[in-house]
Amino acid sequence: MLRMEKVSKNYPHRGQVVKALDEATVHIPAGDYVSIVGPSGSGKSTLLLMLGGMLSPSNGCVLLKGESVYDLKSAGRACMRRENIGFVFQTFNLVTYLTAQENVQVPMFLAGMEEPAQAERAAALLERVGLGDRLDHKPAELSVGQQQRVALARMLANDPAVILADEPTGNLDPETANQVIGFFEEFNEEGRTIVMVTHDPRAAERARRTLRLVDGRIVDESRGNNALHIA
Amino acid sequence: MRAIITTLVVGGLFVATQGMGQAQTNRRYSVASRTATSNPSRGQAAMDAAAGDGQYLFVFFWKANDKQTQTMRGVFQSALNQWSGSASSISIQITDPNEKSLVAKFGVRRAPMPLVVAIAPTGAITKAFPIRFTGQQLRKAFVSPGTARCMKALQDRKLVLLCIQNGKSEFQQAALQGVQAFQADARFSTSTEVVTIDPDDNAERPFLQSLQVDPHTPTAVTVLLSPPGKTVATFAGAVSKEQIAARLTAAKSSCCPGGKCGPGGCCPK
Amino acid sequence: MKLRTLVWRELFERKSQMLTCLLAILLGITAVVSIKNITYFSEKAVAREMDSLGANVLVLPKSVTLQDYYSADMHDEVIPEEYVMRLTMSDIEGVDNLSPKLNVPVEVGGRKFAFTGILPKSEFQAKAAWAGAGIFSRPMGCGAIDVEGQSEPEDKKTLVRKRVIKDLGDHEILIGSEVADLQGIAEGDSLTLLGEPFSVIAILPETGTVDDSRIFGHLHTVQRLAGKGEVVNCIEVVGCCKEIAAGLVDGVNRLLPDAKVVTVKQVVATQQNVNGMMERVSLIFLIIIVVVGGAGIANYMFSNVYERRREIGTLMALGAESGVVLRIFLLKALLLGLAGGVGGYVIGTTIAVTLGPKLAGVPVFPMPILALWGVGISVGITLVASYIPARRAAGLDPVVTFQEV
Repeated sequence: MLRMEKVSKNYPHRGQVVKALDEATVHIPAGDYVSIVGPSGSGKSTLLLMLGGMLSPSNGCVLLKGESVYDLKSAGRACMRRENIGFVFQTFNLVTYLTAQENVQVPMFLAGMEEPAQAERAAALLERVGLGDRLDHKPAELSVGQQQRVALARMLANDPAVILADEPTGNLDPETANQVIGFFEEFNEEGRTIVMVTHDPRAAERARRTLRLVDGRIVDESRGNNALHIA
Repeated sequence: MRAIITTLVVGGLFVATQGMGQAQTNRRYSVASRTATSNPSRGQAAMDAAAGDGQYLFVFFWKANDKQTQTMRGVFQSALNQWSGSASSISIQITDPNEKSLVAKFGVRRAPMPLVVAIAPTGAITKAFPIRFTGQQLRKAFVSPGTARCMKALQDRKLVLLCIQNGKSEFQQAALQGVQAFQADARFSTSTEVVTIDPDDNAERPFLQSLQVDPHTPTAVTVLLSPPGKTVATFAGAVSKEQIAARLTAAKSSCCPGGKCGPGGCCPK
Repeated sequence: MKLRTLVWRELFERKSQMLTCLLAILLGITAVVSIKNITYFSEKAVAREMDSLGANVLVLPKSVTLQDYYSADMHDEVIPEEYVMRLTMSDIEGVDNLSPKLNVPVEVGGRKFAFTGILPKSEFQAKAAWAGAGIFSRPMGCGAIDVEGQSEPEDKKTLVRKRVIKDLGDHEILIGSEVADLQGIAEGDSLTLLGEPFSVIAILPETGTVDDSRIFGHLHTVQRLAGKGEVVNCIEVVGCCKEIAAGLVDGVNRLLPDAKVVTVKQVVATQQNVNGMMERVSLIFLIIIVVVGGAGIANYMFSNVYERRREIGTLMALGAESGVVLRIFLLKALLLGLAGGVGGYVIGTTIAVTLGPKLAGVPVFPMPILALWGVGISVGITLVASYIPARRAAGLDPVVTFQEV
C-alpha cells in the first residue's frame, strides 16, 4: 500500500543542514497497523506528513498503491488524499464554527458528494462513534473525547483506505484514549491501513508493528501482539 | 369826471378781458377742496373741455407734497406755460375723494408719484412720465393725429388697420376694399378700427418711420397693428380680407407675434 | 455542506471584526449614493428651471439672497408695488409679462400654507401703452395678441406654467395641488382665510415645486388682510426670450436702483456650484472608500487568513485543492461586498429621500441604477482587496500550520 524508498528530508538552518529524515525506507502493506514511536524531534511527524503527500522529500520517493506521490502536482496530491487518506490530529483540528455533523460533511463536500447524501452519511458515522445525539453540537459544546470521536468520524467520511494519525490520544485521558485505540483496531479489522505516530506505549503496543525513529533514522522495528502476517 | 369814468370802464373791461383770455388760453384748475365731498370731478371736466377744444390735456397726479413733487410741479408748470396754445393742464391729488372715480379710471392709485399723464384730443394717453422728467421729455407726448387715432383704438384693445395711402397710391382702392371687407366681417367688426393717413403728410413722417414704412412709396401700404402697439403684418399693394385674417390667426397661435421676438428671434419650448 | 455554507458560517464566527470591516465600505457607499442621488435631482431641477424659466428675471429687495426661484417671494423683505407700474410704463423691452407677489402665511386645517397675492395682468397691462409712440418702433415683445373679443378665455390653471394670470377677482383663489389634496378642497368650494370667505376657482396642477403648497389670491386683498401696505416681496418678469432677458437686467437696474435684479441663471448658479462641489465631494468619497475601505478589507482578510491557517491546513489535509481555498476567501469578499453595496444603497437612498428636499430644496426619489453602482463598487473593492490574501491562503503550507502546536 504505502512505500518509502530511501527518503531523506533536509532543512537549512543557520548555514548548516539539519536532517529531519535520513534515508528512511518503509514498506507498509495494505491492512497493516503501524505505530511510529521515538523521542521528540526524531522525525515522526515528518515521516507521517510525507506519507500523506503533504511534505515533499529532499531525496527518495514515496509510493501509494505503486504510484509516486510526489510526481503528482499539488492538485493531484489533494485528490489522492481525498480518495485514499484519512487524517487524525492530536489537536483534532475541527472547524469551530461548524456543527459535528457539518464537520464530518467537509471531506464529502470536498469530494463532490451531494448534500442530502452528505448529511445522511455524516449522521451514520457519528452514530457509529456514539455521537448520534450530538449532531448539531459545535466543538466548543463537546468534551475533548467527543471532539476526537467527531474527528474520527470525519476521517472516515470518504471511506479512506489509509489512516494517518498524529498523536491521536495525546490530549485524551486514559479511558478515552483506550476508547479511541479501540476504534482504530475496529478500522483496521475493516481492512484499512493505519499509520499512527504516538508517544503512548500502550497505544503503540496495540498496533501490529512498531517502528522506532531516532534522529531521523529507523533504528528498530518490532512486532506487536497483532502482527500482520503477510502470506 | 368823464375821463375818470372812461378810465374806470376801460380798466374794468381790460381786467375782464384779461381774465377771460387767461381762462381761454391756459386753463389751470386748482386742486379741489379736500373737504368737499359732493363736488363733481374737476379732472373729468378738464378732460371733456380739452377734448372739445382739440387740445392735449396734461394731468399732474400727486400724492404727498414732498420735495420731489414740488420740484416736478415746477418743471411741469413752466413747460405747460410754453404750450398754452395747444395744451391745458390740471393737478390732481390722488387721495382727493372728488377725484376717486377718475383715479380709478386711470388706475393710478398705486402708481409711482408724481405722475404726469398726457392725453391727446382723441382720448388716447400718448405718454406717461413717472417720478421725474424734464420739459424736453414732456414734449415727446405730442404725437401726430394719425398716431393719436391709432393709440386710442389700441388702448381700447382693438386691432388697427392703418391704411397709408392717398389718391396717388397704387392699388389704393384694392387695399381699401380688402380692409373694409375685413372690418365688415362679423368676426372682426367690433374689434377693428380703420385709420387712414396720407403718406405725403409731413406730420405723419415720424409715425411712418417708426413703422418702417417708406413715406415715398408709390403703393398703398396697409399695416395691421395689435395692442398695445405691435406690428402684426405689413401688406404692400392690394390686400384681401383672407390675407389679413390668415396673418392674424398665425400671430394669435404663436407664442409671440410672428413666432419671433426681440433680437435674434426665439420662442420658449 | 456547500461552499457558501462554509463561508456564511464563518462570516458570523468573528462578528465584530466583520462588522467593523463592513462598516467602512457601508459608510462610503452610503455617502456616495446619497450625494449622487441628491445631486441628480438637484441638477434635473436646475435644468428644468433653466429650460422653463431661463428667460425670466426677478426683481427683489436688495437684502434678499435667493437659492430657489420658486420661493423668490418667501421672505420678509418688501419693495413698493409702484415698481410694477414703473416697469410697465418704461420703454424697457421685454417687461410685457410681470407677476408681482406678496406672501403671507395662513393656517388651513391646522397646517401652514403660503397665501400668495398676485396681481392680475389686466390691472396694469394697459399702462404698457403709456410708454408713448416709441412703442411702434420697438421690436415685437413677448406675449400673444390680446384683443377685445378676440382672445381665448383664460385657463387659470396655466398660472403655474405661464407664471402670470390675466384676471382674478378680489375674493377668488387658486389652490396648489398639495393644499387641495391635504385639505380635500375642490373647485367651487369656499374657504375662509384670515377671516374672509374666498371662492376656489381652480385647483392648480402639480409642479413638484413650492407652488404646490400655495394659495393664490388677489394681491390687493392679501395686502389688506396682512396689513402690509402697498408692497410686494418680489416681481417676476416673465420673458419669452433669453436674449431679451439679458438686455433687461441693465435697464431694470437703472430704473430701480433700490432693488436687486436677478436672472434665473444667477439663481441657479449657486445651486449649480453646489452641485458641482457635491460631485467633487462624491468623487473624493469614492477615492476614500476605495483606498481606506480597500485597505481595511485587505487588512481584515490578511488577519483572517492568519487566524484560520490551521483550519486551512486541515482542509488541505482533508483534500482541499488551493482553488477551493481561494474560492472560500473570494466568496467571503463577495458577500461582504454585496452586503456593503446593498446596505449602502438602502441607507444612502433613505438619507437622500428624507434629507434631500431639506438640503437641496427639491424632491428626491430612489434611483435603482445607484444600486448597481453601489454594489459594483463595493464588490469590486472587496474582491480586489481580498485577492492577495486569498492567494496567500491558497498557497499556505499546511505542514507549517501543523508544526505550530
